[in-house]
Formats: sequence, C-alpha cells, structure tokens
Amino acid sequence: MTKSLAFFLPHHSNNHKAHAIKAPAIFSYIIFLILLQISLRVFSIPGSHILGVSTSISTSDIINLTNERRISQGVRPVMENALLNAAAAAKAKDMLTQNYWAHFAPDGKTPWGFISQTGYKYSVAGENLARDFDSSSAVVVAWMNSPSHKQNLLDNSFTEIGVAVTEGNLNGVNGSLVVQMFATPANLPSAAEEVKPAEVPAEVSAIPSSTASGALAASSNDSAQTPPQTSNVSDGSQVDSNYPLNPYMIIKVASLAISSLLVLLILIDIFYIRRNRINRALHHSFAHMFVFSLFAVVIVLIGSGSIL
Amino acid sequence: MLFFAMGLTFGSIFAFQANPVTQFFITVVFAIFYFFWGVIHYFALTKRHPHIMLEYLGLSFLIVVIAYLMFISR
Repeated sequence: MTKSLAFFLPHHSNNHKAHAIKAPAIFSYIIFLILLQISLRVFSIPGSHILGVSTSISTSDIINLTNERRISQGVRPVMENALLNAAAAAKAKDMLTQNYWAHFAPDGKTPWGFISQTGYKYSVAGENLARDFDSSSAVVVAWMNSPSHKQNLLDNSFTEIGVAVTEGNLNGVNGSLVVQMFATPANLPSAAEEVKPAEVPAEVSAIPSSTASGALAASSNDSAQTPPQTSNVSDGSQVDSNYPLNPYMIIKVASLAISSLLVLLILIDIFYIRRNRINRALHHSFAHMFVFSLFAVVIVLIGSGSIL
Repeated sequence: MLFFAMGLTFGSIFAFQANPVTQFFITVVFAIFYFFWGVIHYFALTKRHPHIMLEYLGLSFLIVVIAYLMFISR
C-alpha cells in the first residue's frame, strides 16, 4: 500500500518526490506509448487498406447531421443524389491526384465542373470540403461555426446533396477528405416539391459570392456556360463507423491521460513541498506543470480540423 | 519568463496552425528548447544533480513521442 502510494505521492520513502514523475517513470510512459502504437499497427493491418481506418466519418452521418441542422433551423432537408455523390468523389480524387487543397484545381477545373461532368443539370450548386476531423459531427460543427460554410449548409435553395469521403496523401501528409456537394436540379419546382412539400418554399436564388473564409456561392439559372458556384472547403477526416478501433483517438486519449496525470501529480508535488517546507536544490515543478498543461490543451485542440 | 513566453507562442501557433507537418516541427523545436532549458539550469545552477537533465530529457522526449505518434496516426 505504501509502495503504491509512494509511486503517486511524495513520501519520505521516495525522498519526497513521487516515483511517477521521476525520469524512469517518464521513460516508461514513452515505452508504453510506443508499444501501444505498435499494437494498434499490428491489429489494424487487416483494415489498413480500408478507407477511414483511423477516423470516424461516414457519408450517411454527414448527410443525416446536415439534415438535422437544416430541420432544426426550419430549412427543408436535402436528399441524397447518386450523381452528386459521384461528383463529390471525383472532386476528392482530383484533389488527391493533383495534390491541391483549394476550391479550384491547378488545371483550372471548377467545383461545379465536377457536377456537370456527371450529367447532373443544376440550377444552384455548392460545395463544402473538410479534412482531418475526428468525427462526422466535428466536421458539421466546424462548418456550422463558419458563417460562409453555414450559409451553404442551411441554404434553402439546395434540395439535393452528395458526399464523398476519401483518404490519401495531400501535400505530403496522409489524411482524409470530406467533400460535400449541394445542388438543385434545373427543374427545381417539381424537384423541390418532391423533396419537401411543406412550409419552406422552394426558391432558386443567387447565392452570395465568395467570402474571405474561402466559401463560394452562386447560382446558374441560365446556361452552364458560366455558372456561379458555391464552394466551401474545410478540413476533416474520414470515418469507417464499422471499424471498432480508432488508432488516432486511442493515441490521443492515452497521451492526454499521461499529460493530465503528470500535471496532477506535479500539482500534488508542489502542494506537498510547500506545505512541508521541503527544500530542494532544484525543482522545476511549475515549469513542468505549465508545459504539460499547455501540451494537454494542444492535444485536445489538435485534430479538430480546419476550414478554408 | 522567456520560457513561459515560448510556451505561449508555441500554444498559439499550434492553435491556429492546421498543417500537421508544421505542428510536428514546432513541437520538436519546442521540445529541444525545453531540454536545453534543463541543461542550462544544470550547468548554471549546480552540477551536482544530473537527474534534472534526465528529467528534462525524459519530458522533452515524451512530448516528441506523443507528437510523432499523433502525427503518424492521423
């Protein structure tokens, strides 16, 4: 009992410093994390070729969450469209192939070009992109927190949606992409009635053009020549909800737990040293506590993705 | 104070920097500074407690390992 206490708490048997914050223990945390990572790699080998093995985003979740937000705001829900799904997938593939993270491809391809390529005739179209998020809800929350992306998400002009989730190497970093495309068929009135018969009137109107955050919006009521477009790009990760383990989240939680444990034990150490007026030749408890408190915050923040 | 300022800068950059490669690079640089902070104290204040350096080395290494594992797991 005393031994276990001495591991976590300052005590005369451990020279008034918990073993858990001494160098040997710190190196054991490192070994633990490395072994944990190796274990996750070994056990995830069968699924390592599966999209989203390290994330938890699914197209159905994105669509459902989008519709939940729309309904809660009094906007009609959007219906999934196979052509828009294909357009979203093509955009994601193109971004990975050409290695760009932007609304417009380096070769001049426009966001709405992918929609037109599938044969989908639209009157209004929009696009949201995301990358490196942990979950579907995180992606949608990030979009909702960005006025320009939120505008697309809650735009009553849109009646259909397509989502693609893909994974690959972008700018030298392995990651995943979420592409969300909104559109309204050119024959809007009938389509709109089908999608949502009720309160919200179908309307096709010009969407405000690009904003500083990177969101673009437009409508094309006449021809497909120069259709104004809507594009939002944000950053998020992918999901395979069938995969039981999310290696990234496990590492994140383990790292956060170790950092928090260190902060807690150092706090106890500071309290103990002060209360018992113990003199140490050198003790940098405040510095360590500050660093690991900061690090814990960073661990929480990291991976939340970003929005263009 | 210098160290606290560095930490705050590190945290701020991290909070607003989305590129994982840059984040990892910043973490490594910060960890190296953190380790040398301990080395400086060892040589400047007393040379009788090398465990201080070992402690800083361990914590710095822990920071780098966590950053690296999170980076490759993304």
